[in-house]
Amino acid sequence: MGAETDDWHDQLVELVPQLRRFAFSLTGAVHDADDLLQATVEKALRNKSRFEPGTNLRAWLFRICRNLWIDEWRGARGRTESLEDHDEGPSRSVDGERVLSGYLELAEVNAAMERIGADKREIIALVAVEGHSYREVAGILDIPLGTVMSRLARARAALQDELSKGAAGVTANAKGSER
Amino acid sequence: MNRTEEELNAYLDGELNAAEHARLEAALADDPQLQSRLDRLKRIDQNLRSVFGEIDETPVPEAVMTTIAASKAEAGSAENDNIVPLQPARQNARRQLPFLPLATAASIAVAVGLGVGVMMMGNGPAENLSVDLGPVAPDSALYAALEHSTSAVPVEGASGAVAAAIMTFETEDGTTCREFSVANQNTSQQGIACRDEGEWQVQFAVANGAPPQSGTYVPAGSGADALDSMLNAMGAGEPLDAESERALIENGWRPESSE
Repeated sequence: MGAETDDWHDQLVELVPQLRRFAFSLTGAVHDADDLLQATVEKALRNKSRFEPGTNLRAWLFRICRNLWIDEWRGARGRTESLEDHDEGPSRSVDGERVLSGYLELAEVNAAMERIGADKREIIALVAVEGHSYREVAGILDIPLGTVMSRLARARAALQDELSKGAAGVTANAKGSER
Repeated sequence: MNRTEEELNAYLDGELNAAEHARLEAALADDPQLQSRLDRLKRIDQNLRSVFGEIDETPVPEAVMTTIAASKAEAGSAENDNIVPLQPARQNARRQLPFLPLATAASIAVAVGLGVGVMMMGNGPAENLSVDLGPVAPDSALYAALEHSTSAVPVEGASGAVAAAIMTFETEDGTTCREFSVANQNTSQQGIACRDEGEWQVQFAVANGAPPQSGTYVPAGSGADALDSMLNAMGAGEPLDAESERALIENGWRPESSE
């Protein structure tokens, strides 16, 4: 029993970096990500007895994190901050070429991730950023595998769209119109 | 969303079975447009990983790791159900005290608990120790420890009580506070005192293993947990190192000023 418990905490420690990146790709700001991470860890420890040994701890933790984000973070701060970050960020200069070939800045990615909506953002964070399997994602989000596939394809297409729109926005701004 | 687009995604994510994989590879070889769609998806993914991977460059907040470590220590001691006090493990877990070897911190806590007071006092009546909230009496051992001693230096008082500061920290609003422990041969207590208008005010005190005594709300749990929660609630910063402590002591706990 003792060994098992220690094991559980050690596994949690090992999963912290992944959870933190996930929290970051959901919230888009380091301090929000760290708050979300702390809340996730606290909730996981509180509900430890509800974790079924032998099941996927990683998926369980990601689910807690994702649910906290949906319930508490997204409405409260995620939205305004990301948009502010974007509007005030130095990097409005997305150009079409860079979307295709080059490096995108956090503010650009955040703005696009914000506009595609929570369900698309989270699935991109899970698959594209964290590399979870579709099956794991189905478990985390509690949706059928087929939905994972279709939602993910839609999400990636939408993100790509928004990123190119960001590029188009630069041209539009140059003409004096707001996006 | 059409089937091919989903397949293209699944291919990118390594989710196709062998037959589907082969079919899509053939399609890619055949269709440069499909290939360039795949390349775009791939590049955006790489970009996302790199942008969101940047958080790995900053250290994980200590609070997160110590929350886990404290829970682990607690789970361990609950299971063993032995008499090892939570305190040393918690200190280990919560903070690295760069200036104080952890073994020393632990041994102080233990030594104080085991009756350094007896050694100091010999025959004094064993008073029941009680740290009250509010100002610390200037003639007490606790005051001497808080005001004049760096952390982990025990100060024995006339009554046989031994007090030591455990660490010094600043709260979010810049108040200087110290975690302390006071003990005689009967009891030991931990607490937090803050320097306010030239006085040390006990903000929080808890007897080892007893419920917290405090005017503020503290989540349920052991005394050690309560102390941790309190530190979190106060927005306690990193512990000061011995040198900074000494400077503050020499300066009468005023931050270094331009005078």
